[in-house]
Amino acid sequence: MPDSLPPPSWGSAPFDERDLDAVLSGETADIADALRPVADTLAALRAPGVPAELSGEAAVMAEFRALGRGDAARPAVPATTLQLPVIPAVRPLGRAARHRGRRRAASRARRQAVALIGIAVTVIVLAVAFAGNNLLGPMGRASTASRSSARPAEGDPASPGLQARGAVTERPSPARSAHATPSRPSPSPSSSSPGPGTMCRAYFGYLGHREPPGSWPAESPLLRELSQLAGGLSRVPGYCGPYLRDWFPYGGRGSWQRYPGAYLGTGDQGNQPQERGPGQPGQDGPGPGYDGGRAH
Amino acid sequence: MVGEDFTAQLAAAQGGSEDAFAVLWRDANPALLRYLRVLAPEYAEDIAAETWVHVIRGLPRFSGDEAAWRAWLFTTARRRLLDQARARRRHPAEPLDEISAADVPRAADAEQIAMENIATEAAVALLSRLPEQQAEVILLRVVAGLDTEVVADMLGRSPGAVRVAAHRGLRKLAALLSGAGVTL
Repeated sequence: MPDSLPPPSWGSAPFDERDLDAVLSGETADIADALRPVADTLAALRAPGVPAELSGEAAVMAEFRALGRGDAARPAVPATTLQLPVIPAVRPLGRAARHRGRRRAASRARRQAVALIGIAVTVIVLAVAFAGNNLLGPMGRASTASRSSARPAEGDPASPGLQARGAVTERPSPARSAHATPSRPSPSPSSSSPGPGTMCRAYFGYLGHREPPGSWPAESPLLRELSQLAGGLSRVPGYCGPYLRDWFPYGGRGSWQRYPGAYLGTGDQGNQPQERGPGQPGQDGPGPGYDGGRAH
Repeated sequence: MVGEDFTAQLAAAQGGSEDAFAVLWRDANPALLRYLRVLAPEYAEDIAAETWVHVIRGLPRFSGDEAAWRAWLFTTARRRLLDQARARRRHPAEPLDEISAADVPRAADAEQIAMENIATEAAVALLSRLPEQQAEVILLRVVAGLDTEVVADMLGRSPGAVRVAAHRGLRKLAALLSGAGVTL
């Protein structure tokens, strides 16, 4: 095989990189024939503008004037005239700017909504707190009062609990007891029931006129109520002691311990009312059906 | 190209001369429209108008020669083009079956182009058949008159990649023209 044979063809390569660069640069004098149509096509792209491509000149010039680029053509204004900065009435925004504006508006709206919700929640909380002070306060006072009636305060002479704890240290004088007025309501099982003092005086007054002691029926509603107040039948004498103090100005409890249930267990030595303040027991006022039950 | 008068025309336009700005616009707008007609044929006019609005706003701050002016103009147009493409992706156009046949844009047929003189419109239609990146590189090199480095900077690619894309596009264009029966 002679060496002069041409190499096998792997496809036509009628132009090379330099030809392509020349076409791109518009240098078409020495390009390959295969690139001639391409060069003609690119030359057509470089051709001067046709009227259709220049039809928008008026609109662009109007934009140019509107955006204040024609300062040189503006008439001069007197020096005394106040010149305010020119703000374009409508500035066409690009799409990106419009989207940014929408995003900012959305985030601004979210912040405003959160702030409004926060303010509303704050107002509601304050309103509830204010109403709570007005409404819950009396309730709280009522509950305190109910607690004090259900569980007498420390030193309450009508308090069975106080008597049971033996916190009494001084016995009041009959004179003071006679003129004392109750400072707080006596515990009563119900609002329609007479006071404990009245019940105590009725009970022990009745017993004082009947012999032998203990004839009082145990199932009497009055005794049952007193037993409930005192915490048991055996505690009734101790419970009623303060209310009957003026009955026994000199006597200890021995004079009334003989009545039913009137025994004091161990540790009841201090089961006497404590003097406290101006209020003293025994002044509940007459109760219906129990008036005049005082023993003399 | 404006040529030697470019600097004077630019300065006058920046000073507010409408005539000077008209010179710049008449020189650049045809190339801008051809670039946009290949890449976004349905929105070329709108994008061109938005581009000029941006250019007019930034005109007082511009400084540079004619190559820089063209690079700025086409960079601005390309950004508007990308914004428009993003908007189209978010809001897709209605399906073609709901558009009348008369309104459907038709790509130019290569054979028909070969039978005609290679006019500007036919050249634009032919470039539209190239892959977008190759067509854009050729347009920026040929229509905008930018060199390889400037195009590479605009597109965020290396000059070598730009050159390769341009060559591939030209080869494909030559193949299209050859297949259309254009004399080689």
